[in-house]
Amino acid sequence: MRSVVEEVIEESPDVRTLVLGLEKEIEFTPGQFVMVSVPGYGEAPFAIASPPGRCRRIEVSVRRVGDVTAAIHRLRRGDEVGVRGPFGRGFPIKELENRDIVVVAGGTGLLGVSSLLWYMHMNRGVFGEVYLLYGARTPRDLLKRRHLEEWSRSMKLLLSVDRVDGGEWRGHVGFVTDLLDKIERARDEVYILCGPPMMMKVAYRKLVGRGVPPNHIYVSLERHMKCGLGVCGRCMLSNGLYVCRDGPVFRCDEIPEREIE
Amino acid sequence: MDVEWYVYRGNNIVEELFGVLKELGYTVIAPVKRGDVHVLAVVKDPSSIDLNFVRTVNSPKHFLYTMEEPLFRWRRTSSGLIFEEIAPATKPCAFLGIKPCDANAISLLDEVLGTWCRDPYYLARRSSSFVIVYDCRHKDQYCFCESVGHRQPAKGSYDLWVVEDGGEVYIGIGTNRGFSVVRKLRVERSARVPVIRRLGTDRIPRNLLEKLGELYEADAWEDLSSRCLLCGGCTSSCPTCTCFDMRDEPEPDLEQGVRFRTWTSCVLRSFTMVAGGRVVRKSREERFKFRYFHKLVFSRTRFGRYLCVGCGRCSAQCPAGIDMVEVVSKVVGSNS
Repeated sequence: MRSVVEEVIEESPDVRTLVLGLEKEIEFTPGQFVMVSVPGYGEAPFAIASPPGRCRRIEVSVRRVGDVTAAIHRLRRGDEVGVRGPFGRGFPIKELENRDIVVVAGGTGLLGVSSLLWYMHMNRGVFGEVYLLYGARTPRDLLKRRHLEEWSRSMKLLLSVDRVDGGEWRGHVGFVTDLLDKIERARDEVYILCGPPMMMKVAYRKLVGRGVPPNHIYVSLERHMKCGLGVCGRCMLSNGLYVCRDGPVFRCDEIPEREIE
Repeated sequence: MDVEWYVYRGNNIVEELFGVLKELGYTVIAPVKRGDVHVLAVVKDPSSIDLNFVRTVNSPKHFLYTMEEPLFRWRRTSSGLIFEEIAPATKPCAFLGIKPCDANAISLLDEVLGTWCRDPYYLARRSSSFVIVYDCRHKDQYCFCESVGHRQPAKGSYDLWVVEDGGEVYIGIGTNRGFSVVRKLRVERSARVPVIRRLGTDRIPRNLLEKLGELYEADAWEDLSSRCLLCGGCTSSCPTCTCFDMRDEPEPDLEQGVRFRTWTSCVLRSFTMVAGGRVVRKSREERFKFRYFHKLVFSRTRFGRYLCVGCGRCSAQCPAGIDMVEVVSKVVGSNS
């Protein structure tokens, strides 16, 4: 469907958020995604980063890494794009209720869990203790700073950067996965991982090493996609599941460890 | 089996069927000889149809799920961006004389493109198509239909099923539409059911095929994949492979253009490339074995069926001489 760029927000040197006004109302759950099309350049999947529910306005954030994303970065307020969706199976809220939740996000991985963070923020009583461990390359690369502040009122926020390029920094310097050491293991807590391949691998192994069962760990995966309908084949995992239709959110006992990246 | 059989009493069933199909307005697609090979092609003259072949280079997929499909046109106008769907060109097509394995490939396409994702382009072509299977009497070293259970056409895959047996020509009815065609021929109802002879294409026992599922990490894959050129010939010749890519073709003014869907292949490096250039399945081995698993393992889990009909096209056309059955046998054999 046709949609209008209502606002462009500069998140970091290479990430922009588009506020999209949709032709028709959609309803989506935390963790679902849409396909955004820039005619002449192509189409790519993006997590919906705004609060879930029924709406005619959504936010997607886009890091400039290729042709389609560069074309998206050239869009201005009032430009039009195509939107299909929502697609995929998001976070299983029922399985998360009443449990402590530790979200580990790296870089643009924060966008894959943003709608879930909004949901937990707005339904605080439904969950146990919520932690957000979020890492970026430098303080300037931290995304959604305005929302982080708001979320920190309902969850414990621990930040990490790979390096500090001048300026003041009070958070951790190193890997975001280091922050897992600051979380005490409860019994039934759930971990949610979304980020670059190495972060996912390291976090997963670290958690399993600490005795967390794979079915207490969830990941949101990024794969190439052309349809979102489970037919183009691009996002199929090496156990036959489609990221677009069976995911993008998986419980780690549903997928082979080699796909946790 | 509850197929209704008729005995044909005319002189030339192919020409007679051709005539009836043309009368009904179908474009007839049938096997013809081109140089050293047979292909499925649009036939104007029934005498050019040649049923004496092992396999055609192309398959019904090439007509029902085309290599390139324009999906929509976009246009920037003064009132904004407009998307105009491009409806599939659907001249009703009749396949005359395809093999049982290829009919079953259509039924697998029905499952994947029809039921699973309801692709409107496929459904439009499929619902207006007519399928006549001619029983198979040929095989070569690549055929393995009997290993995967595709020696006979599955119910729902064909409208008519022609079988030669004991000097008679039998016609089995698959659909009401098929019956309405048979009524126009010189036929008699037959109490006898024709015998479908074994071809001897059971090159690998079913219980060995079933073992493949546990062997994703087997060492043998590395060596077996080393000859693969990663050209994608296996997937494009496959009658059931449907993976696709998208391509935008803008007009020079950039104000309008068309988005196309085109075939692609899971063995290509770009197939799993995500934003920023990261490739999920980097190695030759991973991409090579993925095809085997999609066809023979994952599809069993999701649809309860192999996504392979044993037609042997992938092996027959492979420039590196890689044979699917041989590969599976070696992987399973290396772990027994």
